[in-house]
Amino acid sequence: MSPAAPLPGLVDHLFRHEAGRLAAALVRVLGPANLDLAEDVVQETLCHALEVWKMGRVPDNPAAWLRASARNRALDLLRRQRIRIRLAPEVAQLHGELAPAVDAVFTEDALRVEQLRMMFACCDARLQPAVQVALVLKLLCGFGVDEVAQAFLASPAAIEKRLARGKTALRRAGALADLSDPQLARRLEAVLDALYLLFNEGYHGAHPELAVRAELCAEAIRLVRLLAEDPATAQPPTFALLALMCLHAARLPGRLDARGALVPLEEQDRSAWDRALAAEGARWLSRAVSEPPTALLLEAAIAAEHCFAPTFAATDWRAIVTLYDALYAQHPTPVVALNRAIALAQVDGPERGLEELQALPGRDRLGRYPFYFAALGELHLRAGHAREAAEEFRRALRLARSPAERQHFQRKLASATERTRMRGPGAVRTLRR
Amino acid sequence: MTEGGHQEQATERLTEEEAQAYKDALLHFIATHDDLKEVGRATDILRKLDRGQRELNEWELELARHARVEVEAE
Repeated sequence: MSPAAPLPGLVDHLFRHEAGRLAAALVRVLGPANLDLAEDVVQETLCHALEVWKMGRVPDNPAAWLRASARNRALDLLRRQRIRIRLAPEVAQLHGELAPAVDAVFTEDALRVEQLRMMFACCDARLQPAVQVALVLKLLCGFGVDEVAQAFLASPAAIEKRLARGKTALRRAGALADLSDPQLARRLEAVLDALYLLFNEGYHGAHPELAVRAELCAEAIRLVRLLAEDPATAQPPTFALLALMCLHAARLPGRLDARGALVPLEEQDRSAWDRALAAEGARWLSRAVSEPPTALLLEAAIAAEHCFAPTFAATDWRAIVTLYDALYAQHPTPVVALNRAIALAQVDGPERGLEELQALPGRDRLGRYPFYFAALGELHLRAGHAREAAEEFRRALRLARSPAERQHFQRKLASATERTRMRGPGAVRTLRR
Repeated sequence: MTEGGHQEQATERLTEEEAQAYKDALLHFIATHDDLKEVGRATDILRKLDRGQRELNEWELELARHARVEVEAE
């Protein structure tokens, strides 16, 4: 037993990770029809652990403690309610001792496999993406309804309904996915999409208070690592997504300043970036190579160019433009075009970037996207059009979705306004004097 | 038997050292047993010891001793 482990911090991390593992194992034992019961057992296990650990001491291996406790609860439940509830087919057929069957799903290897099966069940292509991600957060990442609601900027009641729809679908499915099923590869894309959505929610989600939610990014990485390490799902698209996530997350420590404001890439302290995570991203990227390159691979390659550039000025912008060209050919979206135009401005100058931005295909769809106007503002500023820059930053400010974005655009607006004053007639007179 | 027919229970006052040993044993018991009624009883005793109470009744002592025997056997 550890004499004085910091309980609240430990509980946050451990419970979040273990809740998903335990829920997946318990669904295996109790069957998808008893999903709510499995969740109840997880909750009871965690609440009991919290109470007992507060009274005594945190065990040396708290994860093993939780697993043993959940296993014991499941066994007790099965013994008492074997007749009353409709169990998983595998368990219902057991006539002899229950304990070996229950023990089998609580081994380290089985816990990993059950999480994967649950992941595929949550990301069933028949469910809406928002429902898929809500299920992943609730069942695999141990998020409470309020936390899921916070991640989606939705009311808890709306999330309850979303989860209820998803759980009904899971119950109807009767059994979780079989990882040896050759059809599984077709469903991998939906799983990767949902996990990418989860990561994006953390990296630049629309949370009103927080510009970055590192815990969502960490959960997405944890789940994709599981996919990358299993033979059934260890495929180039999985590696590409994991590479992309690691390379983006490596830069998270430099993305916000001490006051929580966004720091632009050119101003970020690159020594603060997580080099170990970046190296992991590079390793996965080397395994992700496919011909023709997938969109995920191209995105990861762009992230790698940024991550390994020694400085902003020394970034290989030409290579980035080429990668964006290839990406745009596959995904001709306004956001890809916007990013390509920004990179192009680094190669051919701000005027060229402005031309691209002003003629951006589908730019009407960026009317609510603050970074489109911020990019215009930035390039106007670099081109010496301070008045136009201020106007664009004002637009971006009106569309800001979080205090961090607001602070960032305010700072840029102040800088553009200052330059306007410097170049105004009064300023010229002052200089002449 | 007492006057009201109440079964008088023997209690035993524990030293601090004994209380700590029982707490450790009960924690182990809680983590390893799959009969939730027993686990519930062990949690109740642990709660009592945690509140600083040092007198356990007969059935509480029996369970706590059993938990210690189990720990020592491992």
